[in-house]
Amino acid sequence: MEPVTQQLELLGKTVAKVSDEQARVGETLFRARCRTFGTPPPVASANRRVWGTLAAVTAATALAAGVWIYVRSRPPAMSPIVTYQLAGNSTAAAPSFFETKHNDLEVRFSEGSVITVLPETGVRVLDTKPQGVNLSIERGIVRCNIRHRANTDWTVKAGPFDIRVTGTRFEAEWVPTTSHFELTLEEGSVEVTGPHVSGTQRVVKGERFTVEVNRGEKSLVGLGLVPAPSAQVTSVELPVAQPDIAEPIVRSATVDWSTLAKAGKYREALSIVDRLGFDVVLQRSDAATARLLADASRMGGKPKQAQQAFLFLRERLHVKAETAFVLGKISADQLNTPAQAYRWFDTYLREQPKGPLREQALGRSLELSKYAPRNQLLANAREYLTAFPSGAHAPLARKTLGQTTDAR
Amino acid sequence: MLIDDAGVAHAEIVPLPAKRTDAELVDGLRRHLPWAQQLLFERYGAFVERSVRRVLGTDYHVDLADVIHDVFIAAFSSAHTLRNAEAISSWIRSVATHTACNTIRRRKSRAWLRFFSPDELPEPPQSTATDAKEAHDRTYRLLSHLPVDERVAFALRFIEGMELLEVAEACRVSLATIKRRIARAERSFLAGAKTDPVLAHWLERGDRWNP
Repeated sequence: MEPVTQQLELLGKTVAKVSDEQARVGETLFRARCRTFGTPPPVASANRRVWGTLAAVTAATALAAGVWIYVRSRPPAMSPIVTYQLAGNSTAAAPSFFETKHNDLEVRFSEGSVITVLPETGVRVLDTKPQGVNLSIERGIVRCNIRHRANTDWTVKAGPFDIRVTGTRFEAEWVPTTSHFELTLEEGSVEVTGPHVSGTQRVVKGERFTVEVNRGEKSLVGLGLVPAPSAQVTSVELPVAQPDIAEPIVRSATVDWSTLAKAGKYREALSIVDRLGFDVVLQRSDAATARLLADASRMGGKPKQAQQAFLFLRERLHVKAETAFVLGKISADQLNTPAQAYRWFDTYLREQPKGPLREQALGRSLELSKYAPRNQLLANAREYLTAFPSGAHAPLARKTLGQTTDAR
Repeated sequence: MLIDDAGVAHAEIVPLPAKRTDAELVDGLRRHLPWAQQLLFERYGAFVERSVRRVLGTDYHVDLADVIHDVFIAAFSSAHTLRNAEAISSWIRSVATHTACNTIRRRKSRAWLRFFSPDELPEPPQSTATDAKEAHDRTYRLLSHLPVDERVAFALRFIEGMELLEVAEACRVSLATIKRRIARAERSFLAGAKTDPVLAHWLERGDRWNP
C-alpha cells in the first residue's frame, strides 16, 4: 500500500474515533424516531374489532377453564392478543403487537413473569430469548412483575428509554406526544438509560424517576414525598407560563437552561437565556455557570455573547489563562479579528507559560505572524521548536525562523 | 382457528414470537407494513446515524435527526428495489449516502444565505482542544471544499474505512468510477492538507501516531 494511503487511513481512524466520542447517538435517534413515527400505531378498524371481541371472549372462557392459550400474532391490523405464555424455544412465529382501549390486559409469560397493560396502551414484543423478553411500550402504562431468577434478562423499552430488569415489580409509562417518561419501583431495582441520563440511572424500591425529555428536566423522588427538581437545575429561577399544558407536569417553576446546555441543546438553552435576559443570567452566575453559558454561546453561534461571558469570567470572577486562550479562538475563528486573537494567545502564554494549552497557543500565534512584533515572533518560534520539536507547527516554526533570518 | 366439538371457536395456539428474520423484514417492507418499518429503524438506526455522520461531519447547521428521518422515509418508499435479505445493510447504506449527498448539495445551493462560512462554524463542546480533535475539525473543514462526490467517496473510504467495492455500492457507481473519484479526492485533500499545519503534521507523522 502507498505510504500516503496508509497515512490517510490513520488520519481517517482518528477522525472517526473523535466523531464517535462526540456523537450523541441516543438523543439523535430518539428525535429521528419521533419525526419518522410521530403518530401512534394504528388502531384496529371496525371490522377487526369484531374479531378482537370474539377473541377476548374466547380467551376469557379459556382462562376460566384454566387453559393458557397462545394466539397467533400478526401485524398491527389484527385483534389485540389476550394472553401469552412464553415458550422457551419458540420458533417461526411472528412478533406480537397489542393495544388496549378501555380495559386492562394481563399477559403471562411461561417463566412466571406477568405484565398488566393498562387502558390506552400499545405494547410490542420485540424479541424473545431463553432468559427473558425485549418489550417495547409504544405508548401508555404497563405494570411489570418480572420474576427473578439467576439469569433473568428482560429489557423494557419506553420510547427512547431502556429499562434493564433482572427481577422486580415496577410501573413504566411513556407518553410520546409530550415525551414524558415515568418509572415507579415497587420491588427490587432497575437500571435506566436514555436521554438526559448520564451513563445509567439506578432506581430502587420506593422511588419514582421522571424525565420530561423536551424540557430537559428529570427528577428522582421517594414515593409519597414532595417531588424536587434534579440536581442540575440552574440557579436562575423565574416563573414560566405554560398555557398550552392542560395538566402541569413540571414540579418546579425553575427554568433549566443549564440542563439543555449540558445536553448540547445550545440553541434551545440560549433562547431561554434570551427570555431571562443574558446580562441578568450572567451577572447572577458563579464561575461554573458563567463558563457553561460562555461555552453554550460559543457552540450556539453567538460569539459576541461568548466573548462577553469569558470577559466576565476574567474580570469579575478572576478566571484567567484558559479564558484567554478561548477568547483567542473566538476572535480568530468566529469574529475574524486576528489582531485581537494574537493578543489573547499572547496573554495566555504570559499568564500560564507552562500551561496545557501552551503548544496550541504558540502554534496559533505563529499562524498569526503578521500581527506579532518581530522579536516576539522569533521568540515564539524558537520556544516552540525547543519544547515541541515534533509538534504540529514545527515546520511553520522552522519556516518562520528561516524566512525571518534570510530577510533580515 | 380451532373449533371444538361444541362448535365454539378458539384462538389457534402457537408459540410466542421469535425474532423476525431479514427475509420476513424485507417482505414486510415491500408491503409497507408499519411493524417492518419500525423494525428497520430499530435494527439499522444506529448504522444509518453513523453513516450520515461520517459523510456530513461537523456541519452544525445540519440536524442529523432530520437527515436520518429523510433516509428512512426514502428507504420506505424505495423498499421495492430491495433485492433480497442479504442486501439490506448495503441497500440502507446506499440510501443513507444518497440522502447525505443531497443534504450537502442543498446546503451548498443555499450557502450565500448564511452569515457564517463553513470555516467559521462553532466547535464541538470541549474547550481544551486536543490534537486529535483539531485533526478531526480540520479534516471536515477541508472536505467541505471538495466536490460532493469526492468528499463522500473520501469519507467512506478513509474515515469509515470501507473497501472500494463497498464504497462503489454505497455511491451507486462502478468500481472503476469510484477508484477515479477517490484518486481525485486524495489529490485534492493532500493539496489542501499541505497548507494546514495540523493536517500536514498528521500526514507526515501518521506512522508514529497510535490511536
